[in-house]
Amino acid sequence: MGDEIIISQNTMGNVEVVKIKGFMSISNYMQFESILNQLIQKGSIKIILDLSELDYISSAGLGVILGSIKETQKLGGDIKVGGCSQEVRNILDVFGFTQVFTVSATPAAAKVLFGKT
Amino acid sequence: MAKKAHPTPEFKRGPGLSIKFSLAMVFVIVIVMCSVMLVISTLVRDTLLEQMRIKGMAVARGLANNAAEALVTMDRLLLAELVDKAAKQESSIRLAAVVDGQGVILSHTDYKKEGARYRRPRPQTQELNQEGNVYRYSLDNVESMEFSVPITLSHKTGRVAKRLGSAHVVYLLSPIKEAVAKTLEYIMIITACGIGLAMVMAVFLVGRITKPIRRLAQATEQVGRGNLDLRIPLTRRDELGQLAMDFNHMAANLKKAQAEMIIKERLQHEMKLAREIQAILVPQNAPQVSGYSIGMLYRSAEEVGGDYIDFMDMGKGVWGMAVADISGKGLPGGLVMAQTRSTLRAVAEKDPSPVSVLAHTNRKLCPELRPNMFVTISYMILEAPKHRVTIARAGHPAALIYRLKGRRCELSLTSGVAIGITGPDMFENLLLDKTISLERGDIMLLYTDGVDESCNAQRQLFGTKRIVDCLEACAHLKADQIVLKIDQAVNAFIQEAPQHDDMSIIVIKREQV
Repeated sequence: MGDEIIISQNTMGNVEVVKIKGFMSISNYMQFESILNQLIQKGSIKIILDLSELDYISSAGLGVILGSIKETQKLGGDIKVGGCSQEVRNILDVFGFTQVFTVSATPAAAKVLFGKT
Repeated sequence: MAKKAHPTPEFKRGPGLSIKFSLAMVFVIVIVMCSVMLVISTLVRDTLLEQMRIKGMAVARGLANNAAEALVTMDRLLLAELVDKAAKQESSIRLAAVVDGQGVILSHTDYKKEGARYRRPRPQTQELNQEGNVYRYSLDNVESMEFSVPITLSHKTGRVAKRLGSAHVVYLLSPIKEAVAKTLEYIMIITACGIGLAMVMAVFLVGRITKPIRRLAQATEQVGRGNLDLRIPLTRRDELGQLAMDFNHMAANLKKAQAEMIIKERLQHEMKLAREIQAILVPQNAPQVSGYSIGMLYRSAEEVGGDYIDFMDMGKGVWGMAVADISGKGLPGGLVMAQTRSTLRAVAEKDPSPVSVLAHTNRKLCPELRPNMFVTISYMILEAPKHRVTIARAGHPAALIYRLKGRRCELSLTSGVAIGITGPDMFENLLLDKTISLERGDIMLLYTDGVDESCNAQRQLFGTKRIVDCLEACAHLKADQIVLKIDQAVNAFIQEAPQHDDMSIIVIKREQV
């Protein structure tokens, strides 16, 4: 099955914004994982994930986000979610993700959270 | 048993390369030499004939010139002398003669013919010139060529020629044929020598070429028998050297492929063992509980699964039941599944409250999980005599409760996050026990996200709604039948698409009687 995700990156001040579109399944989450790993290795430890056009995220993809949050927090940074589609929000709700982490409506709103820290 | 390598049954050895090569060379030489012989024999014959024509004409003309005066004076003695002299000029001259104007032989090398009319056999070819005629014919079965020149007075006087008679000289053609035959004989001797030399060369050359091929064939046979370390020394810089190098690469690649295959097979074997071990950790059948029917499904997407379901008999109709999903399939998922099971079982024996079981499991499990792994789990206690269930949910899909009264499903949504996402304090703050009483005909359904997130080829998810519909439609059935129907519905939905995630279902139904 040819699930596809399109990942685009841009910078907002000192924060990297990673936007993921499409259907993130077990067959393509590695692509997302390698991009996040590259960013963290490069020293970009403040990252905003824009999931507003993501239709689905599997538990493997969620594991990548979780692992990266722990990694960046250890290095003094963080990962915030800025923008989230309803489908993905339902999935995040089930896992309890939204009860632990703030999910902002837009990347700009998420950027504000970085400003405080 | 040491098997000697024989050629395969369908291979029958035919003539060797040396024989084929020799035959080809002989064929070429014979064709070339035959053509050469044809050309040379024609050339030799034509040249000799031309020479004979020139000489013959000269002899006949000489005889005619000399005979003219003798003919006028009718000096027969002189004529005989001239004829004899002319006939002796060449060994291949068969006869000479002088004939008068009426065609009567005046003088002939065969004197018996004198006085007779001069006759010649019917010529095969004739050339008639002003200077003289040339005839070719067979005289007494001997190939001959005749030169006939008219005798005239003009030679002496310079006046208008008066024909007095004619001079005839006849040559034998056999010396020409003999010369041609001799030439052909030489050519044939040279050809035979050439063929002999060519065959020796062929055997030598083919031997040189086939030696490395034979070595390659032996090496191929060795490789075929499993000796993949064999390499051929590279001593040549031609096509055979290239072939030897390719052969060495092939053997090296085969060795690599074989090594990879062995590793893969070992891995597969180990995965099979892991699956067998996991099968012991997963209940094969749902338990029998009085007044209830219980059904279950456990299916891994890979050899080893990352889902976990469990039934623990606490006695007196009290059962602990767990459904969990480890984020990660295959061996890592399977290992964490085993870890989760042993941790949860150890805790559940001491304190049966679901919140406390999950809190303790989280405290023990969380530090041991890799950063990108988490476990979603629902744990519940079924108290069959009291017809009630107490459930806590840690990031797991909410349990579905079907109520016979109203014939509708409701969701048991409580707060709670997955194990591995956050520290113990927050985890425990969010965790909540919820008690649900089950009336007759009520059904409780727990599942992992492999069910609702089953995906078809059009990337549509099966979804919770379809599980609810399916449950409501077959609520009259026994629990194991309900599980079967949901499984069938999922399969019908995904059709040919592969199962991506592990799938687990537990259905608990309080029977009506």
